[in-house]
Amino acid sequence: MKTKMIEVFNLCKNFGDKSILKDVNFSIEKGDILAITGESGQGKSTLLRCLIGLEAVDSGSVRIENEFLIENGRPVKNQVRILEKLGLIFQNFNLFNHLTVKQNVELPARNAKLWNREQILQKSLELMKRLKISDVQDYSPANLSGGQKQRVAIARALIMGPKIILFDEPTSALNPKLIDELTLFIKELSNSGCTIVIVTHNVDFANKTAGLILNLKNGNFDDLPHY
Amino acid sequence: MKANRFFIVFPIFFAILNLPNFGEALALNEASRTRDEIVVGLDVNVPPMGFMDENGEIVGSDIDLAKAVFSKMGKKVVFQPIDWDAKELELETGKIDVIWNGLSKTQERGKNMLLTKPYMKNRQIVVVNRTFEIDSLKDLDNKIVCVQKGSTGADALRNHDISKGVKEIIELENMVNCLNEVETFKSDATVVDEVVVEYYLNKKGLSSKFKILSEELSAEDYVVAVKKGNFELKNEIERQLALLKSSGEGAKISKKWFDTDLFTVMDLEDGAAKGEKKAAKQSKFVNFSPILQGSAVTLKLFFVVIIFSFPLGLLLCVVQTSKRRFLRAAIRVYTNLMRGTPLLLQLFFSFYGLQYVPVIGKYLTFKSRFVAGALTFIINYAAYFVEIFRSGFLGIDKGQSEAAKVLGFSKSQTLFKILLPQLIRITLPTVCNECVTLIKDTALIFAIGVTELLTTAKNIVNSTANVTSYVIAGGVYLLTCFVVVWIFRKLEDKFSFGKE
Repeated sequence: MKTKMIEVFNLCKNFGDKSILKDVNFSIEKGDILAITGESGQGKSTLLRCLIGLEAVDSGSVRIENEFLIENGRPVKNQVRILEKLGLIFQNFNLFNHLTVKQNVELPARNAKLWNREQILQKSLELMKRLKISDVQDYSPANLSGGQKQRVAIARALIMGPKIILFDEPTSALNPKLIDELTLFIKELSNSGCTIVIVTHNVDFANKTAGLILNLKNGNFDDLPHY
Repeated sequence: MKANRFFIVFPIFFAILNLPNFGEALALNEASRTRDEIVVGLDVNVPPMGFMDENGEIVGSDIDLAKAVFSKMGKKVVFQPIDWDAKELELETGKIDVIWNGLSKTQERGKNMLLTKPYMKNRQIVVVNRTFEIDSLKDLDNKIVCVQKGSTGADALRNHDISKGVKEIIELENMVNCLNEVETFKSDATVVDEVVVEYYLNKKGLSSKFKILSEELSAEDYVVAVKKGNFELKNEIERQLALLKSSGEGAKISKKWFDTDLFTVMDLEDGAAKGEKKAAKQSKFVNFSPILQGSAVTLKLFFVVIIFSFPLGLLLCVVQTSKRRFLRAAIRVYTNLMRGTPLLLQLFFSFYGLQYVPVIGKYLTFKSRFVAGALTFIINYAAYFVEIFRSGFLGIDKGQSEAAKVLGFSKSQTLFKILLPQLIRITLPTVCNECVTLIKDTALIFAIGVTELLTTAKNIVNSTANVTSYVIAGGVYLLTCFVVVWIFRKLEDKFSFGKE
């Protein structure tokens, strides 16, 4: 049996009186690609933000690789260490505006002092080559296209070596050809052992990419997961 | 091309302002006044010569004399309070006809104005705090002496040998300020007119607080001044003064104010006119080295304030984002206080007021006017910077710090590597604007007696009746602004986020 990478139990999240996530449960294993679909405003992005610690939850638990991240509604003490296993590609990428592409990719590794300077440089060059952004490495994010920005954001997340990668609406800035390329890339990541969670309203993309699709409606999954 | 045109126009502009007749051109309003009216300019802070009584009426010995003289001439007399520093300019431009206000006769004044023969005698004397051990002029060595700006007391001190030993000479607006300085130990001594100060101290019951040195700095004569070339008016005033002497009316007025007859009118021989004609040939050139010194003070203040207030504002703004409610409230009170009261008031308060704060006041007394002023500017400008940076923080997308968090940045890494660099970039145009405002605001420090660029220019204009110095001072301010704006443009390019 494969390792359970993410397990979510009875997760609830309210904004004021409004209940966004109602008793959400699911789990995925290593190398899986899960797509969470649903209309806008159904709580897809909120679920993703709860998983990566950007939103507090009201109740429920989350386990990452058999360790609690959130236990009975409360974040555990050493959350930062567990969060290192996750990477997130924001819908609008949130690249650091004042840095170049290369600096964007290198900065997280430098902050964490993962390796020495040369190793980080080596690593970032490899990643930029793999994501086909080497030719724009000295550009400012403002001068990039939507697709390029997304690939910078992916490179920036990958340099930290996450085991789980979360994508928030990854197709919104892409044309059909680029969407197909993204599908291939995500499958490649999955084959190399990464676990992927994609939040998207693009059902076609979800069908092509994910092995597992959950449809979120009114804060809960409307049926059992279908494969 | 543009630059060329600028360099052609500028000297022409200068040349126009340097025309000797420019003063006359300004005096157009002279003609509009009726010929039966005489306007007497005076500083209304010189009791008993000319001052405001409890009812706000201008009274005094010189007022009585002027009234007597001009009523005999059949003219209506109007008393106009003026900036004593600007008296030459006021006469030159015809805004006033006569200066009659305990005006002491000096060579310099003889050059710029037409003076009557003396009608009264006076001495320049030194007044010190009674508690000080200063008994003779020699004791003034290494002491701080204050004088009234543009007064003969100031000249007497500068021309006297003791001025070489004096530590610092401070110039203030009027005699009352000077006495106040001595009373509050800010200065060690002041130089004033004997008749003025004796009357004032007696009247206010302050004689016990001060000591008057027996040695005089200089003796002098009081005269009346009219515009250069107006011999008709000068001769008529002298004739009427002589008549007042012979009729005993002059002595009566003197006794009313001084208890004795100080009224001394000389014979009617006309000798002053010769000196006047010689003086008229005096050069019109202006000495610009004071302007350079003034510019240096202004620039020094500007840089000191920017260098300290910018980081202080940034620091306080970052502190304000902390979760400690007390700190946030304290900073909010501070910014509102600083932005809600005039900078001028803050300057006065820090230099004249802080020392009266109970308990801590004695530690808050600044000997240096520049330091007190610069500190006030720094604290004032930091308050504006706090708000500029606060709005800058609001302008940074929340996604930036979320991305940093997801990528495992610590709080300080997020602040120093993500938020602050973007904050600086976002706020650059506003900070530039603030710097440009500061360049001009530096002029306010004149209020606590620091002679900066604008004050220097004003002093030169007032004493020479030539407004070129204003143009030069304006040019210095403008040039500084250009440089600052240019530097900020470069910084904006350097910190740009690519195409925006």
